[in-house]
Amino acid sequence: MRVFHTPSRKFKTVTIRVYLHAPLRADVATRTAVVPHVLARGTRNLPTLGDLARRCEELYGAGLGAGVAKIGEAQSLYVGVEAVEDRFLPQAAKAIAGSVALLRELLLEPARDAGGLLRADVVAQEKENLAHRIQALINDKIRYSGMRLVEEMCRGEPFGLHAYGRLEDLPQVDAAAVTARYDDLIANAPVDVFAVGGDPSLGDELAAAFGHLGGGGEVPATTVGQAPAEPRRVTETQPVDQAKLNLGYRTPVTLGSPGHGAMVMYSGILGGFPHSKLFRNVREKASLAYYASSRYEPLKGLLVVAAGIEPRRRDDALRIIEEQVADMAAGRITREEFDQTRSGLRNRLSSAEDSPGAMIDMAAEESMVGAVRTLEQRLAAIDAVTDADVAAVARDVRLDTVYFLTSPQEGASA
Amino acid sequence: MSATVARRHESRIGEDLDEARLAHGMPVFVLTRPGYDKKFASFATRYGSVDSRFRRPGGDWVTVPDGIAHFLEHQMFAQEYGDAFERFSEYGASANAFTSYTNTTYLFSCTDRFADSLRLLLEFVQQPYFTDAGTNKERGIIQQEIRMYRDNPGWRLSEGIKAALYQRHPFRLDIAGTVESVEAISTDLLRMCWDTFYHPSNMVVSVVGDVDPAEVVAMVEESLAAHPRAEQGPIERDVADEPDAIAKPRVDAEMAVSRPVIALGFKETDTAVSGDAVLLRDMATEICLEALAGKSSPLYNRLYEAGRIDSTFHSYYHGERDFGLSVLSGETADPDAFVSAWMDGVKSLLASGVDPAAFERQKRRMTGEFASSFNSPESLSYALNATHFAGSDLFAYGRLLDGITLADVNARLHQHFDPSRTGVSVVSPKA
Repeated sequence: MRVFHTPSRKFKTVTIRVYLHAPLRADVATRTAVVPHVLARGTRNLPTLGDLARRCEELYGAGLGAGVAKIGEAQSLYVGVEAVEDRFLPQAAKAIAGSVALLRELLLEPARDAGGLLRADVVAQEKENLAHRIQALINDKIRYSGMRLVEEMCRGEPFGLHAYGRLEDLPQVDAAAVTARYDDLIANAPVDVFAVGGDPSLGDELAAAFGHLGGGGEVPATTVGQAPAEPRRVTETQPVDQAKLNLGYRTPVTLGSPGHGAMVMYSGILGGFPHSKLFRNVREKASLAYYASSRYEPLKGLLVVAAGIEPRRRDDALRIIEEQVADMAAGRITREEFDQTRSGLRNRLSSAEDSPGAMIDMAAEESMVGAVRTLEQRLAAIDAVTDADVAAVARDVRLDTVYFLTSPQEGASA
Repeated sequence: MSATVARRHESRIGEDLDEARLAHGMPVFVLTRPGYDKKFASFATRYGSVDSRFRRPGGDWVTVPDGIAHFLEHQMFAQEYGDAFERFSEYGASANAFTSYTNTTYLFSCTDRFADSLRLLLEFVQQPYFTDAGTNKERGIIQQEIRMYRDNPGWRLSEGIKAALYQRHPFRLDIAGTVESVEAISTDLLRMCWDTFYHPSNMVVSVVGDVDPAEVVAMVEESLAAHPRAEQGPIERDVADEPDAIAKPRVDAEMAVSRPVIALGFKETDTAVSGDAVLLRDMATEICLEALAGKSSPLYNRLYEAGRIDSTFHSYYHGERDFGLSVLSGETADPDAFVSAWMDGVKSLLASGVDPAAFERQKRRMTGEFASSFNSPESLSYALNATHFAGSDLFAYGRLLDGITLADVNARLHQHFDPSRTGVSVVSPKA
């Protein structure tokens, strides 16, 4: 088990998140995804949602959470809590100690039935809820189209799976399977504990609470794939007013490789900011889209471009987006674009230090490939990037998949 | 020059709030956050989508197209030198703006070159550059934005519940207007609305971060002096004569969703409040909602365990001076069963009153949440503006929370959760 604690007195709260990492695998992903929702239904001593909620209220509004996240090709179960530091509460309040104890109880002492299994009625219900959650992914078209792009692009790779798993695997999930999965994770999964805020002694308290966990294995590694010779093109239709155009690119550059800083700069110049090529050319110049941006997935080596456009203007949008990517590869980047992106990234990295949640997200990602960096190290990595570095990584960015979600009328003619 | 800066201290959470009143009575609030890298500033006007009919002192009543406040928000970034967004980018700052029913807010956050960005924010909001070409280009972007919202089930649900509860008040309409209404927005109308509502007497600046309050106040003062405005009396706004009765019991929509999503709403009728009473109304309503439908409530637990609601269920209250609503919402297989279960719950809560133990627990939770809200510079800045526009102030919240009684909460319960003033909005899967 590793503990990453950043003591601080600038926040009003202490934020703690505990991750149990497992390789993202089709055969167990779905039952793994049920586990945190079963844990969140109650513990041995606090067996109902109401009991847990009342306990949180007594702890001055402690925020308790549990879920699964996809971090590279790891499926990571997490439980977390955020609670107000005692010094801002009425005298004798012990919200932090109480919250650490509650988090420990949530993860390690779930309610079980007489036979030692996680409760069958709760598992059945959370299985049903997970089915609804998977089906509801279609509701938010921006997220849905982003997810579908990755699913098409990484078909056959673990990364193509959603952190929630697959609907078709749910029928095999029962209380015995979920209990076995939970017991296996507790016994064998590598465990990382992240905390922000509080006194330095909190790190020791967390080590005492969770120190016996972690089977000693390594955190799961992520594989890097290659783009096909000819890009895949996928069109899907739904009754929508606005179409979504998503393009997926591959890069061999990942977090931990020497070109990482340059690739972060690349994505920023292309589509990370209002001054970026995509926003200016797709939205501002051509009035084509409400949003047009790019995002770099640094563990898997993906670059994803997303735009919301009028259905009939797909070809215009596609052409302008591909022109911007071609300009990047040809090194057509102005001094302003470069400098503004660098200061924008510096601002983002520094600002993240003021948000406990953002600090933990960044640390969790970095911890998958080694050490968690300090802000100074992150800034230095961006400052060191040259035009030549960006040009070098730009040459290896390859289009893999074009995904288009549109209305049935337009889809028929597309 | 150099206005007096007054400092107040909130001892329980260890925070200082500085305030100065500048030209035309415009307040500047500064909440210093030692140790924070991020500096956050917002410049807001009390002008939102509901202000579609108004008159200035001595003028005539004017009615403007729906969506114009939001259109103006977009258009303000167009400056003679180009795009103000890009200027913020040059400074390494991240800028944005948003329009609500009642306010328009311009904001930025940065870690370096704070003074440059603050001057820029103050300047571009006070110095519009309207052109017909700019207006026409922005119209296309806004129409895309409206289409994007139309595909969002949460947005459709919220439009539906407003349409169910409200007969006349412009709150029932979309903040951005419609694809058609923005066609009627002209450069002249934009200029007229800016001139009316973007006046210091109707605005507020608030800054949160590790900054020097005296320097911030001096910069704002300097910028106001550089953009002098004539005195302007209070703007009269046509608060639609909204009846207490709802418009229609149910509004349905169909779209590409997995399951029905429902919102059950209660209409606000306590609309003659201002100042601390607005904050008290918020608090009391939140306690009622938690007692009725919070995760610690018996009914939430019964319905969850029976599979009638799931983790998508949530409740909220949104109240402004003269309109508002409480909503219970979530995915459900059976919208009618959802409504009857919650209406039964309301009736039995009206009969029993709020459980005193639940009341104490909610006060405790809200005490903690008030303290944690000071973690976020953004939400602090918005809360400073909102409490100012309400006629109260941010630090009043802690004091009012200490003083609220079970009797206050039960009075609000009976006043607001009236079974005759409810409506339902449902978004169902498209066949």
